[in-house]
Amino acid sequence: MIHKSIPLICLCASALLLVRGNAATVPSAPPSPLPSMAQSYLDELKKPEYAAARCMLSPVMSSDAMTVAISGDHIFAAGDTIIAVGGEQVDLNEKNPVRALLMKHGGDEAVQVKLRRADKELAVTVKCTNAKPAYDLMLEAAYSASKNDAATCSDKMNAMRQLHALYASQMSLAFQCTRIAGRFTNAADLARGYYEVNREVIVENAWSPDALGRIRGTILTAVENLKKPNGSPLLADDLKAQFDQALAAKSQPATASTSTGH
Amino acid sequence: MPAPFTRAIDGRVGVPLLLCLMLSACATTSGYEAVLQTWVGDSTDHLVSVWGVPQQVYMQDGGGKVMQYERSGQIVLPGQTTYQAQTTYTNGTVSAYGSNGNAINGSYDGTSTTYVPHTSAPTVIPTQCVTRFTADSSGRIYNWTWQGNSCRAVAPKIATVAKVSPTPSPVYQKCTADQLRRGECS
Repeated sequence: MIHKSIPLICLCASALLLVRGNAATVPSAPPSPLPSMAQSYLDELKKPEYAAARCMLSPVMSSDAMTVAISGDHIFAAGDTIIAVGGEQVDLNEKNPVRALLMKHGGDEAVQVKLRRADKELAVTVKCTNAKPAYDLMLEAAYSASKNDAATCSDKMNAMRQLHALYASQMSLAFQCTRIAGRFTNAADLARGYYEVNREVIVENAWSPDALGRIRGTILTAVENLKKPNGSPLLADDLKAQFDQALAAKSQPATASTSTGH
Repeated sequence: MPAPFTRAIDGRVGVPLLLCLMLSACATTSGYEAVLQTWVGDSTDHLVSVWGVPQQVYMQDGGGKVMQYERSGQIVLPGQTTYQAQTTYTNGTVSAYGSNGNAINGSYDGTSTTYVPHTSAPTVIPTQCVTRFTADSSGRIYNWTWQGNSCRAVAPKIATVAKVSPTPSPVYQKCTADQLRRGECS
């Protein structure tokens, strides 16, 4: 739970640049997307509260910033909704409510987290990880991206990936930095990197049909891009299948969970 | 005068070469390594969906794992047939009786050679290929090794990326996160 806020603009930029990056006939280099992609991270992570050792938990949160998208441990599970941290209820008016609560706790504390799983509430006590090293790397990556230093940005993002799984928006920045730094040596790796960013977008929006509806255009564009020459039809089909599966899973099972939940 | 290419593929060396060209590629160990390399960065879930369930999985401290795939078989080379000369010596006497009742005796001797086929036992060559993929705790494959005498494959055709000329590193003041937060860098 490092940083939330997924500017889909970043992903659109990824889409455009995947295509343009492969076009040998583009006469002049497109303007670098890195400074604009980095700006939101610079604005946020320069705030003084990120200079202190704050609490970070392992899951990657969904786009609602409350539902676990990917669990990084054996405590949380994908689909858990966090409803309180350290005895404080999650404030739905906050832009990033869970992180706001975690930031009130030190990096070496154990916090009690209340969560909802399959209509039941659970309370778990979780050991925090110090978020500062990850926030620092993210800020330094964003700073180098703002200066169009793609290689340093790519290095910093790779280092950060070792500390916490990246969110889709972070993966998108990492992908663009790696691409612009010329570190994709073949089209297959480039296509796979692009695919992984978009797969993460699906995972982070799989919590609701509405959220999936909002990313539909992004994903269909990505599927089309992957079908282009130098893309990967297999990955395109896989991405489309994952999107359809996520949608199908959210359109039917309300009945399944309610019938077994009581 | 034949074209250089025609000459180059003429003769004993040219036939296998021509076959390779006709088949587009030949299975080699470097081709196999190229196939394995395509899995670096991919997930073990994807690997299992394509290669099937591994024969062995070793869990490492720290959450990583090693997945081992084993393939074995044998190549049977048929025995060679050779023909061995077998000489038969024949001799004896014959008698014949004439119309006057007198016996006439005569002797004979000679050799005859026949060639008898002998087929040696077939040669069985065991083949084996053990491939290990190493993945980190998130299931991301980052390394591979192989061992054996049949780890061969045709290298996958990999399209190359249009060369992105990396822009030279811009000159700017490098800053740490704390310097950025203190406003020491613009």
